Amino acid sequence: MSNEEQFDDRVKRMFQGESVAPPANLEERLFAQLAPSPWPKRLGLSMGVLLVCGAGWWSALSEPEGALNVPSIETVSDIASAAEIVVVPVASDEVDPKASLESLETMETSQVEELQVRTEPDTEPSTLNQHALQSLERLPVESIPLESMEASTLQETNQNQWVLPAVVKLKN
Amino acid sequence: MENELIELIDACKRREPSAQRAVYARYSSMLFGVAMRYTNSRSDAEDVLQEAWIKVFRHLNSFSENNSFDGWLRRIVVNTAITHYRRNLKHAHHIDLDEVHATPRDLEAFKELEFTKEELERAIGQLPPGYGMVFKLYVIDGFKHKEIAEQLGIDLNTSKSQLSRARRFLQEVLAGMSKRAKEIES
Repeated sequence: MSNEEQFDDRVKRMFQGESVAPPANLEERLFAQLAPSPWPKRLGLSMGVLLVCGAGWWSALSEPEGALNVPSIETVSDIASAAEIVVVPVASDEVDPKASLESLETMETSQVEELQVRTEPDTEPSTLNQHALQSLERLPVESIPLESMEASTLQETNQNQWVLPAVVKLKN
Repeated sequence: MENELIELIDACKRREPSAQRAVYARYSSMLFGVAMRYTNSRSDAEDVLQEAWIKVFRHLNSFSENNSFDGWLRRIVVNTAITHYRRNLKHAHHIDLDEVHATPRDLEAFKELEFTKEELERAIGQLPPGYGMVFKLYVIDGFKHKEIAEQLGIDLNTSKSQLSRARRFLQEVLAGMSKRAKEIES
C-alpha cells in the first residue's frame, strides 16, 4: 500500500460511523413539507380543475355541427387550399376558369373586405372556416368551353369533379 | 438487507408517515454528520439534510433492495451537498492552494504523525473549498476522479492535482499541530 493510500485509509477510518444529532425541529419541518396539502387547498385546486374542464366541454358543445371537421384557415393562401375542399360537381364542358378568375378580380369591395377580415388569425378557426366557405360558395362561377381550360388553373380531382382554386387579389 | 428494513422501505414507498418517521429516526444522525462535513455551517447542513430527505421519500421507488440503503442515502446527501456547494460557489472567492502553501513535503514523514479526528477536521477546514470538496469526495466518500470532475464541473486532471495538493497541505498542517502539541507537553 502506497503512502497516499495509507493516508487515505487512515482518514476514511476516522470518519466511519460519523453521527451528529440534527435539531429536533428539523423533523417537524420536514414532515410538514412532506404532508399532503390541507383540504381547503385541495378542494380549491379540484374546483379549479373542474371549472376548466367544464368550460372546455361547454365550448366544445357550443361549436356548430361539423365545424370541427373543417380545417382551419388563417391566411390568404389557406383560402386557396380550402377552395379545393369545395368540390363542385359540374359537367366538364361547362367549366370556365378564366371567367371565374375574372369574376373573382371584379368581386365587389365589400366581398373582398369580408374575405380580408376573415383571413386574419382568429381564435375561432371553425367559425372562420364556415364563413370563408360560405363566401366562396357565393362567388359567381360561369362556365367556359373545356378546350380553353388551363391545367394550372383547373384541376381534376376525380371523374366529373373539378376544383376551382381561388386567387384573391386584395385592393385598397 | 434485513427484513425489518425491507418492510420499512416498502411502507415508505406507500408513503406511510409512521414508516417515514421511523426511517428518519434511524438514519438522520448519520446523514446529518455527512451534511455537516460538506457545509460551512449548521444551518446550511440542516437545509441540505431537509432537501435530501425530501428527495429520499419522493424517489424511494427508484431504490433497489439489492443495493445498500445506507450507501444510497449517503449518496443523496452528498449529491445534495454538492448542489448546495455549486449554488454558493459564485459568491465564494476562489483561492488556489499554491497561494496558501507552496512548500510540499514528503508523505513518508506523515506516517509518523499522530493526530485526532478533531485536528484532521480542523485541517480539512483550512483547505480552500474546491480542494476540500475533492479531498472529501475522493478519500472519505469513495468517489472516482471522473465522478468528481462531472459533479463539480471541473477537469479530470484538476481533480487529480487538487487531491494531491490537498494531501500535502494537510500533511503540513497536521505536522505543525503535532509539533505544537509536543512543545506544550514538554
